Amino acid sequence: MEEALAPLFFFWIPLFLFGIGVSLTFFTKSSRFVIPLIIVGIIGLLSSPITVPNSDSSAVGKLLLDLLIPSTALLGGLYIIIFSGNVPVQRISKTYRPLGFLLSLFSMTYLCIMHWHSFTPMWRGQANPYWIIFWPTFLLASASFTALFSMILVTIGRDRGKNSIHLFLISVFTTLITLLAMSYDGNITTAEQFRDYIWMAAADIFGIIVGCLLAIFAFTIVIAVYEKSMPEPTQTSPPTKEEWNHVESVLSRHLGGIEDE
Amino acid sequence: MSEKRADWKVLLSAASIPFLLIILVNILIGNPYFSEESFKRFANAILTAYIITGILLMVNMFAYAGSRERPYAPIMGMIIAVMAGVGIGILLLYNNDILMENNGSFQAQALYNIVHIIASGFAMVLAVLLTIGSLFASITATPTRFPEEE
Repeated sequence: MEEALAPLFFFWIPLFLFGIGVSLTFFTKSSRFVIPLIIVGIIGLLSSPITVPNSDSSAVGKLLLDLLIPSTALLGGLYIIIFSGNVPVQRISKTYRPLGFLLSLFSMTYLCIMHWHSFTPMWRGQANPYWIIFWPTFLLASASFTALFSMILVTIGRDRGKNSIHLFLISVFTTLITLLAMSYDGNITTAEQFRDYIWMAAADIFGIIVGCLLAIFAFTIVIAVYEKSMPEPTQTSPPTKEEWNHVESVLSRHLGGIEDE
Repeated sequence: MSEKRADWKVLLSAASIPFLLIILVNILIGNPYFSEESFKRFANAILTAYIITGILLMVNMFAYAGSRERPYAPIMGMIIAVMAGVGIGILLLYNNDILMENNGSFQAQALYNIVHIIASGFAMVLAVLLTIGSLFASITATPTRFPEEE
């Protein structure tokens, strides 16, 4: 019984707290409760491989733990690059800019090493089942999103051709990594397995996008129907002669004055 | 001054090019089928994403209700919308052949769907952050067009 309840307390409740924390960020300005909820949720999820090693769900906690270094390096690197550039606020010294590039490059290299060489996320002596879901989904999504934003910059932005090319190059880079992973075996996973999971990743990306859009559509319908059912606001009668006189006297007191020299 | 407008067909085509290229190479190499497993994954991803986003939006509905003297109708509407998703999910999962992947029971499949979406959702969020981060990194690298305020 205790063994059956352990995943509930050490995986699902932290996950629930994380979800509640994220939801609360939508409608509360106070971070007093939200941040602790999110932190407790993240710590619970990341520690699940230690607290509930027998649960299959803990494999995703282990994957997130393994991805902590490359994802932090990627986001930290991009943050440094952005804020060491031409921004008016919270500027970081330009001398740190190469560090930002190095961190970003390190994170992508680290992810490739995880696939082809060593440090491959493992679970119970085999490749982590969620790693083979994460890796093709990340590559496929990155290739598509960067291509999309590259085109957005060209069509909407003004004189953004150079920036568009930068994003396009990242798209080409991630597409190349995907094609290489489809052609050459990884450290633990084979190229054939990767190719099979490309279909699954495509299904996942489309499914998640369609599911989110459907939920937003349902939300919009619910609000639109409710707003339509609201009664028309009551019409107020026009101002009387006395009210107009009062308005006129207030206006005459506040308008006019001496012109600036 | 004429404003540039986004053509959705062009934007979607741009997003599809790397996607289609990878899928095309996959087909040429010898994986020509969008298998039954992929279809099940697609359907499970839709249902799970719909239910989780619906719950997030339902919580958000309390903020909307706060600005409208707390009516019950929209909250109930959103609860019904989410419950409809849950109902369809249960119905399809109980019919083993339609949505069940390599899991022994309905409960196992439902929990697997949630855990799976953490992995794929994290991958997509990281991809979005990489894209937006690279976009701003590129923009802030170019000289500013406006005189700086000191």
